Amino acid sequence: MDYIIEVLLYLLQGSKTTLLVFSMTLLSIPLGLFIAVIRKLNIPMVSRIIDLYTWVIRGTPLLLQIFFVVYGLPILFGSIFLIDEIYGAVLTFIINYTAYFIEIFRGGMNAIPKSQYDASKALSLNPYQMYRYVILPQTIHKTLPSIANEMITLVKDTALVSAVAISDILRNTRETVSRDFRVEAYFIAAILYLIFTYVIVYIFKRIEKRRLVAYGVN
Amino acid sequence: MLLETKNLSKNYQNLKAVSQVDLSLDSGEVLSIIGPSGSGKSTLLKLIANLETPSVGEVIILGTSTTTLEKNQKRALYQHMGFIFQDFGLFEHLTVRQNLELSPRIVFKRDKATIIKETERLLKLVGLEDKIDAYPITLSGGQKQRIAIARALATHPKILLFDEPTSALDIKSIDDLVDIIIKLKNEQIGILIVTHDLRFAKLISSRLLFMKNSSIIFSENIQNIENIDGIFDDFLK
Repeated sequence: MDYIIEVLLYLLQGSKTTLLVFSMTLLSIPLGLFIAVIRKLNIPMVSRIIDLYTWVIRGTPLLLQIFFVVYGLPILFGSIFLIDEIYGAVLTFIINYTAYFIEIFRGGMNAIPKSQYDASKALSLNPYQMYRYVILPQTIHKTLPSIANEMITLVKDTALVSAVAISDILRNTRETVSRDFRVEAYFIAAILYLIFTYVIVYIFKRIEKRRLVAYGVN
Repeated sequence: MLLETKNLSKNYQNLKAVSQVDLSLDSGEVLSIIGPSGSGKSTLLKLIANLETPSVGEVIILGTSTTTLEKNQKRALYQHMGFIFQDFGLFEHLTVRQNLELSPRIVFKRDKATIIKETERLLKLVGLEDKIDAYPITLSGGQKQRIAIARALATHPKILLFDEPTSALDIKSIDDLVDIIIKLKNEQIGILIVTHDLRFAKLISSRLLFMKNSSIIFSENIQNIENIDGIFDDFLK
């Protein structure tokens, strides 16, 4: 039992990194929403740049992107890009997840009937009022399940930071198993990840239920 | 004159959707544009409502041409126009009350007491006072349309545009709609309707326009038309 507690405490130290990366990457949600609105405005050059960004980021592995930001940029541009690995990793996560959220929110906006956009205009709402009061509340409602999925993936993806020598749950697990030649750490790590993802699922289910009631569904 | 169009045209690359349409609408007048599918009547309505940009020609609202106006001036002028969409365009995340009150509250910035009173008056007009807290998902097609009419009226428009208002309605709902349009006509609102429903058009219109192949080919006051069915059978050939 003492061994389990000792390992648990060590892994919990690593979970601070998991929580940090997770919480900072939440910034991707408003960023993705904002860029999805810009993309919806269909300004040709801007739309092409956003499409290129989402294509490159979604088409290449997150781990490759982390390596590029943490190790590649200092080689290309010198010490000005030589930042702490954790900041590099967080930055990469935000860039990566924003690309996914842009596409999620774009899909949500496209699912709103065109007549609601036209009706907003016919009711003299300006573009800001249309997005603020009509389009975005419905977009968020329609995309809640996808957002929840991304959040769960994010929790598991945070383990990738261990590849750039950052101490997180996974890295501390590997160290413990190598050092002690015992497998309990794997199970404890799995339980910690399951707790994180369960909390996310629980929160999103609550939000979704409230939204459905607000739509008169229940 | 509430509304006029002059030489109004819309081309999509090589396709002529609307060609050189001149029409006018006065207070208390109900103008119905009828014609087969693909004749350009819905596009014409969207051009008039500023939901599409004309290739050529102009729309004149209350004597002011919209062609040269700045965005804000245009938005102000279009506040005199309401639009009832074929699929109603109700905001699904808002209750009936919130649908009706959104524009008066955030665009027109009317005071709360006036807005509440007006919402109740409009719901009474369309016979749906009991649905004030309902969400659109819980309403029938006919009820949704009446809410869409009440919402369009909440901004106090002088002109109302209807796109295929009977396409999703049963006979009873069409009769209700006829009653509402007659009430609005008596309130001196100018109404422009695009429809393919000749029976409905005959019941409510002051004047009929027939549209075919993107142009208006016939325009006449309803009392001057002796054999409507015969005339339109000929046009449809």
